[in-house]
Amino acid sequence: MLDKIKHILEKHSFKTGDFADIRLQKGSGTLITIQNGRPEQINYEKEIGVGIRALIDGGWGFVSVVSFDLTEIEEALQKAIKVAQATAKKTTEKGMMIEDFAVVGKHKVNYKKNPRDISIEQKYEVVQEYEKVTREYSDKIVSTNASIKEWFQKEIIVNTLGTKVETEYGNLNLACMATSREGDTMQNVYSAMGTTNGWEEVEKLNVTEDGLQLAKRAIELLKAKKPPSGKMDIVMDQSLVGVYVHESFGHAEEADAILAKDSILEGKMGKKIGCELINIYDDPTLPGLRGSYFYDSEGTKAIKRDLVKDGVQTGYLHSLETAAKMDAKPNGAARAMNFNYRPIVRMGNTYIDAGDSSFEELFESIKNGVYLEKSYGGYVDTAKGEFYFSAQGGHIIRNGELAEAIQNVSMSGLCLEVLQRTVAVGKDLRFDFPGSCGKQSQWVPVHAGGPPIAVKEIVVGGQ
Amino acid sequence: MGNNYHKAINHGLKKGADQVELFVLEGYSDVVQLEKNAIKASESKSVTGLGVRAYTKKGLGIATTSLIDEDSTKDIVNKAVKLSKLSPPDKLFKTLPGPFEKYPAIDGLSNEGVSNLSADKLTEMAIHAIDSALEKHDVVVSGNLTRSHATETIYNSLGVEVTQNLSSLSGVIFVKAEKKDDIATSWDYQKTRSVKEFDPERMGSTASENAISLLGSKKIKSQELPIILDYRGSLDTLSSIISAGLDAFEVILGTAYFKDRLGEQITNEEITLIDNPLYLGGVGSSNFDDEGVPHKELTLIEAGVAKAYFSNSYCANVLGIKNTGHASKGSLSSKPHPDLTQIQISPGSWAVDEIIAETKKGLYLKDSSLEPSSGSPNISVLIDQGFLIENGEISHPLKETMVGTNIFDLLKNINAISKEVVNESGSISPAIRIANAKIAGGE
Repeated sequence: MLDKIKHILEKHSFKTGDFADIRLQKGSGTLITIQNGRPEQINYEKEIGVGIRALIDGGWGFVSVVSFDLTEIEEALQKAIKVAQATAKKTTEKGMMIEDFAVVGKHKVNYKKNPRDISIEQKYEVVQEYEKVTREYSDKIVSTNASIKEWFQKEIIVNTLGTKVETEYGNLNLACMATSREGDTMQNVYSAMGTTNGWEEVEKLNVTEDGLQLAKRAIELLKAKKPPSGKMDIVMDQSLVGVYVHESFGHAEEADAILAKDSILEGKMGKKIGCELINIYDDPTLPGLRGSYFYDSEGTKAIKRDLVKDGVQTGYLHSLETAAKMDAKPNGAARAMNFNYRPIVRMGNTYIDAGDSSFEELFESIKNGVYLEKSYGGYVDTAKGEFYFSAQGGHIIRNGELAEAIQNVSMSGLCLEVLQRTVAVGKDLRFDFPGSCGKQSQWVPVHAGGPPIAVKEIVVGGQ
Repeated sequence: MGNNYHKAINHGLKKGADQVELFVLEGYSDVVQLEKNAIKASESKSVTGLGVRAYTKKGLGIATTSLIDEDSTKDIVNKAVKLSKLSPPDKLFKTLPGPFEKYPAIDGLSNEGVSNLSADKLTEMAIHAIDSALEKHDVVVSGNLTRSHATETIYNSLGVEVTQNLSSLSGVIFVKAEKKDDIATSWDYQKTRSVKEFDPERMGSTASENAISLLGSKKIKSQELPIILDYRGSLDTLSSIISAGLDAFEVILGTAYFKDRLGEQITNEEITLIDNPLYLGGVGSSNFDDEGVPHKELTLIEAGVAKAYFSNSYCANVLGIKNTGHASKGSLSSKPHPDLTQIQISPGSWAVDEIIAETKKGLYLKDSSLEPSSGSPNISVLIDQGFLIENGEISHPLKETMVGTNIFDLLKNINAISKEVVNESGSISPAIRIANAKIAGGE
């Protein structure tokens, strides 16, 4: 198939500076969900299609087709070229493509235990145990939802620069959510595992113990205090640090945002943007994490990206186009949700590197404030540099020690101020935030983490 | 194609399923992407797929494919039936809905002007949006304009056989304004069923003016203050509360805020809120829901009193209530759950200017809502676009300001509703004021 697709591209002549690529995707997966003790759904999904880009005279065109028929693919390429030509006539900001950059390669996923070899019944049993143990912990657990989702896809990427890549990607996610309720007080908690490894990761997770801990947390939060309101010092756990570094910083490091004048980090390369304790990386080559991949959606091999070293900005995340426009080397950060979308610059596994403080030292560093635990997601305005994210719960820190528990709460801050106000970085690095990241209507799997960190003067929106 | 769908349903029944449903989507969308005051790319996408639900002895199997030829259809029906046999029974499940004798026939769901709009015309509209944003201010514009057309077909083994064509034009324009080190961002959006109503110039100029008005934002101290929500802010806030509060599925799960509270006064008696999927020209309007159940209007809050849960067939059967026809799939592969279609909130008795003038000190939120966070009734949100009101006048925009309250207090504390309402393609809302809430300030 790869050679046939290559042949379609070769039938068309492209002048210097023009470009086209064809990306075939074939994927399938299953989802099993159990809710409040009853099967909610067992779901199989199959997705095939082709996404075609063309850059002609500086105008970008994109066409997708739900078919592997070669004639239809060729027609779609012709349409993409026409759309690109029409765009070129209207646009004042010309697109650009890197020259002399071709990748030829093949990557096959090599599972220890292939999730697709595990029967539906076996998967169902794991989900059932997870949900049951969580639900049965207390009558006050009014709702539970446990699920396992497995996805596997193959992609062929061919472009006019000479790239010919065949790649595979799969992920596996196991999650449980619990809602506790007492009158009008409700608390919602969840636990999730996401990996690109195989079934062995599910076997490593003790769902009975994890479910019990989850349920216990949901019940304890019912009795927890209302969270405080105002500007205060905080310690974030690894899960929140993951969301923090992803939202407040990682998005601003995406080179398409820099070029679009949509990032607070524009013009900050080589400059000090945070305290010296901060080192930040995005590394899709880390094995087994949810944001790990071998080739990106343009066929570029993924590499580790150094973003901040000792508080100084050192790198951006690039697609082929942003690398060309910024005279940089591509680093494999162009990802597409599926064949129906153009690849755009995205993160993989983003993290703050470990420091040397213990938990006790982190609490001691701020004396009084709040310890916020377990992320519930967030978002950032990269242009303004203002971020927002939520914690499932936490504790008051009083006189440098953990005190009473508090309920769910959100917080916000200005990205660069927060990096500068970090006063201590913990030593226990963990990737505790397996998530899905949304940008321009595209959702891609990512992972994020770090050690716990202490930050001064964050706005906490409690009651 | 109808015959093929019959064949597919019969095939599923022959394979042993008790009930089978097909949801077929065939369509396309054209998108013009904008970046840095210019056209970034033009896209033309196929949006097709088939979702099959099969029930065998109350066990449910769902299978979805992007390919909808005959072989794929047969293959995916087989898969759904196989999964339904593997699934333990959902004892609460009774039956799929239908058949139904009569369906509404709402005019204008599919507009020829939209379906036939050329790619060049869509690009021109995008350029108009950019030009309008730049006309008075030196700002940075991004966003996208989209033309969509889809044919939805639902067949089930009980005799539901319905098709509807839906088309729309939509767009969102983001603007960044800058003055020395001060940066402000804003947006405007629109979705319509017709070309005539679609106004890209308005989106561009509104987003631009909004961004400029947000320059010079200041941090404030933490305190308790009243909050005024503009039309969009009140629509989004009340929709989010009602969508989790009166959802029949959430009632079954035990997580609905207003479970067992129908007939109770939950908010200001001037508030009547309906869900109206029959509104002419509404972008939330359609003839039937995602199970092929005829749409109808539903009163959710009347004079401040919670009146009804909104449901799909599953929930209606479990709770023993009328199916209100609110099944929504979210995506082709998901199971249909209840969801709202188009909220319309009745006007109150205050003029908006009067509400602001009467507020000595408070916040005014523009297209910025107070939605429950983290699956609980607690509200803890960052204000995206807000202003401080001092002595009854808008004083300055806000930076790093959060609101903390909960949905029960918020509803009880609504103490002013505007008599002016804004109708945005079928969603209708007044502005409202909340008497007080905790404000966490960055100062």
